[in-house]
Amino acid sequence: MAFGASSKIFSAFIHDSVNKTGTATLSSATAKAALYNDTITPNQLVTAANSSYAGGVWTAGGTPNVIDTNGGTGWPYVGRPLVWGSATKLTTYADATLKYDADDTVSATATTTVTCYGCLVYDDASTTTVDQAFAYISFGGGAQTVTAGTFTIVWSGSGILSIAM
Amino acid sequence: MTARILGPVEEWYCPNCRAEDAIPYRADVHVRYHTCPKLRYLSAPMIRKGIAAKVEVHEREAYIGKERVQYDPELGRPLVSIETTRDEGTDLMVFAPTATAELD
Repeated sequence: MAFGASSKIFSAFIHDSVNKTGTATLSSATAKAALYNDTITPNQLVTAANSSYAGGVWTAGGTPNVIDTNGGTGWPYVGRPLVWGSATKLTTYADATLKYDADDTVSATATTTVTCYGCLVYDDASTTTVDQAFAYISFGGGAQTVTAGTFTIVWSGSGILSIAM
Repeated sequence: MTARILGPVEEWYCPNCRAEDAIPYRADVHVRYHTCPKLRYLSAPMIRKGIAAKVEVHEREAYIGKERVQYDPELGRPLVSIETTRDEGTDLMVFAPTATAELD
């Protein structure tokens, strides 16, 4: 198994959004990015339940879900919250490309130690399917390691996720 | 005459381009960034003065395919991370690709 080198939007999230059967929403103020190691094989075409944090391959609270080895203070199992200080969360209906973005996500401490291969971006306030995820992001296929330092996810100028209309 | 009490200042430098900066001390987790001409004009972290470190770019080695990755503005090479290596540890900035879908 391997996390792989692809980043995907879960089809269940799009399906549930247009079908109004899910409560995960990009407007959520409580989205998080949880880190994972290389012992899973993500699949974008799984059910909402299997695309949620703690569902399917996205085990919570232990391997493959990884944390800062200093007790998770720098990066907990549930992930670090996305924040919107300068980034625009969501483009408008007038844009040909729907873009969901956030400020870069930074570890809570400058003494973080963690090794990961990618992350799950999910809505921590989703209830119909608890903690349903929007997408998973691969960090390029290799191990990304920080030792007693600051770990930062630099979200792309194209957004965390993007849907071309 | 009123005497002004100056707060502590943090001094930063870049080990690649030698740029320097000084800002008021901040208690939160904070990294100073600058656009580094020696690091492909990326927004790269600076280092607190007095700390020896190197800052280097790691390019993506995996096949890109349809993945929408981030590129450096100078050479147009696909990026994975900027790593800062200090005597006591490392910092890492991971350039996350964009998860995509098409409806057209």
